[in-house]
Amino acid sequence: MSDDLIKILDGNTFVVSDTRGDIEASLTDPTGLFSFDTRFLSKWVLSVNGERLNPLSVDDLQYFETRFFLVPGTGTVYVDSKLSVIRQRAVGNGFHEELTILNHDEKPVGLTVRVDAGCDFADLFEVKDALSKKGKYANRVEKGQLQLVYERDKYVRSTLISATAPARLDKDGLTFKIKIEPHGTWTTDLDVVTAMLGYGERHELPKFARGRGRQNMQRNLERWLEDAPRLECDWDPLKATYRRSLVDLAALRFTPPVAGGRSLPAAGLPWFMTMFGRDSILTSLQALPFTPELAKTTLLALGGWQGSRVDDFRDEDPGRILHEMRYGELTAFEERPHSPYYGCADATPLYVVLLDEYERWTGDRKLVRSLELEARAALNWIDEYADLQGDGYIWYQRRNEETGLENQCWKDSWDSISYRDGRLPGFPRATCELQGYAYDAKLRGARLAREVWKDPAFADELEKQAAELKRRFNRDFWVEDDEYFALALDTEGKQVDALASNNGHLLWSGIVDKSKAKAVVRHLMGPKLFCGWGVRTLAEGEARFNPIGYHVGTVWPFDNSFIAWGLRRYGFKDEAAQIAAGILDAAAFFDGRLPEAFGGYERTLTRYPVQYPTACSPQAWSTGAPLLLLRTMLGLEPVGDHLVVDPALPAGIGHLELLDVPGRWHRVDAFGRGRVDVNGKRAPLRPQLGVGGHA
Amino acid sequence: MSKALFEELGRRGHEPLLEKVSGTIRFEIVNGKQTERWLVSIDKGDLSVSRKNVRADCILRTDKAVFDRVASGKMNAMAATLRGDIALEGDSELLVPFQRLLPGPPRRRRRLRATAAGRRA
Repeated sequence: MSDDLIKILDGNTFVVSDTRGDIEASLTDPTGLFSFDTRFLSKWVLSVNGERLNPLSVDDLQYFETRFFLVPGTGTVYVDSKLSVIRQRAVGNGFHEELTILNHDEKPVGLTVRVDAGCDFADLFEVKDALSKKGKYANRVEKGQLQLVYERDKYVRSTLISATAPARLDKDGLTFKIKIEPHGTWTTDLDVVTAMLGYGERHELPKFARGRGRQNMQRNLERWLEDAPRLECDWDPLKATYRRSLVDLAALRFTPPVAGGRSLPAAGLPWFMTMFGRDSILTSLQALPFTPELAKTTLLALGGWQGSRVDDFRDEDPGRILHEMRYGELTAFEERPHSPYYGCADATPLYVVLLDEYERWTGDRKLVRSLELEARAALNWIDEYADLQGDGYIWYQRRNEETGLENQCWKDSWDSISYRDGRLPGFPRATCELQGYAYDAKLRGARLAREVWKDPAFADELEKQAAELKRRFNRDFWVEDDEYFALALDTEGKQVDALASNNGHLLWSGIVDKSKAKAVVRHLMGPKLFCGWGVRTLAEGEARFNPIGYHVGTVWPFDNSFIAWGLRRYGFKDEAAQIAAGILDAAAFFDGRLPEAFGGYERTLTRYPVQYPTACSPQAWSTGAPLLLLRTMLGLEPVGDHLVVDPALPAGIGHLELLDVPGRWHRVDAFGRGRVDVNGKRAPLRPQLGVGGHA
Repeated sequence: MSKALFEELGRRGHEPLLEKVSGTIRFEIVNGKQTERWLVSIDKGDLSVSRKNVRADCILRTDKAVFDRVASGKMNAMAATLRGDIALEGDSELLVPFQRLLPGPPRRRRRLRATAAGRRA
């Protein structure tokens, strides 16, 4: 999405407009009002006396609210208008817009104010893939409302538009004939409400999430920020990034069904404003030291939707954690399998990892007890349903060959899993990080079984399986000559031998033999993978390497945050700090909001991070990356009822304090001091951007 | 079809998958001019079924043809709801656990050599 678009959002409802506040969407561009994966407004254009307006400025008041200052006339250098126009817009159940016109003249003025409105009711998938519609449009004026309506059989979606000031409504918009006194003001409220109408009647369909009301949202955001730990630091950009992350995480909160009204993070704007198993789990892990309640909701919601049967269309199995939930027309008519779709091989083991990590931080054993069945079903899925080759590894192969996902790991684009020479393996595939997650899930499941579920026999069995898996993995995936772990195994058990960032996730999971860790770290921090900002998804020199290839050369902030965690786990503190420094430097270039991915160009070459063209922003797990990096820099680790702090800061950060870290210890403060050189002088503060970044 | 399903649910007694769920769902299954009503109560996984016409937390209303397909696993209840083939009133979240009580869809032909070898279910 282009940067001159203005976006406001609340959960899975969002509005994307130009800098005038206007919306003129074509089928393929993601502008408009969207809710539940459906576009509810594709045209919303304001004119005064037939003239479009000219933007003077835009105030981003809150993530859910913005204000546009406009004047009539376009295309001229000088603006000398006797009129000002202000549009203040807040997203909720649809959006609310306050339109105000000020007359600065000494004479009264008569105006024709027009809002053109229309909608294509596109499913977000149709916008992404440029598909055409199968239903009928029926716009009408009724009960003082302009109703934009789309119908296909019993599927009805509509947008209801009304104004508080007297207006003439027609099927294409609203017209106001007004007179404003000298130095006077005219104002109207415009309400745009989205509706999903149901079977045979005119009531609204599942009230899964409603607009929270502007004032509520404001209070809610303030409370959210107050509840999070306070950051003190002598490097200002980090403070800005931290605040940005907290606010964006608040914006991305979404209340799905089966969460008891609580919220979990939606994945990212504009394409992924919905519940994803993997994204919600990894974001919850990143945010655990800051907002542990996100993890709780994620565990409950994903547990409620856990697979219970075998469904080939949805790639569902008993015990499997969902991949993606969608609510749009293509899902409704089963032209897409997302109701929900389960084709994901990592969310299920990661579910157990999150459950254990959540307990370690919060001590909430009640939740762990109540989710015992779900956790056992997830552990069972690893052995009973994911081991497609019968050799003890997690393999994936979609059963829905038309609309299912080929690659069911986080690098899910078609070309992400390759041999060094660029060939793509057949299916099924066993990518390496999946085996790491399975290992970690078994060990963490064993701890929960022993300490909470009181089933030591099950714990012993899981530990035995984990040890066996680790032994085989270090033999089968290890590329002996170059000393790193292969990206995957193919069906013949041969190594898919490209060098990729997945090695970092292996450190995080703990599956790497201690004797091999040093070699792995040498690769991660070497020039083929580390570009100065972070670790590339695929190493330079591999046949498919491309610094702006989605999963084959770009740098993903989320990926790097887990790599840093892995480095800490194996004791490589300085290397973890170096990654934190690079990613946080990049964040400062993006005003504290890290995109999903950016170009894997050499840092010394471009001096600034190059944004990936269609990256989502804000994106939940990119938003979570600075949070996890704060954890790794401070070396925060729950041990029993205590929080251990073992800081290793990048050069140039003199002090870092995280105050009121929540957890089973209630609230504690964590302090980190920068290194001091031999002369006793303090290391200089972090240099300006584009320079340095080394520990 | 619907009678058989509800009677089976009534016999099931306890369903571990629903232990975190409590609530009542009234089903209104429309067959021409007639409406068949069933009340399913879930109390922390304990199921009971009756034909009482009393207030429920959630009302699910649909045509008999749709319900029969949902009950046999041929149609997905969530997609049918999004499509407008099923109407929900009240606590619509109860649809999700209810769907877990239903059988899965009929399997397609098995053709993946490797998949078949690995699957032990």
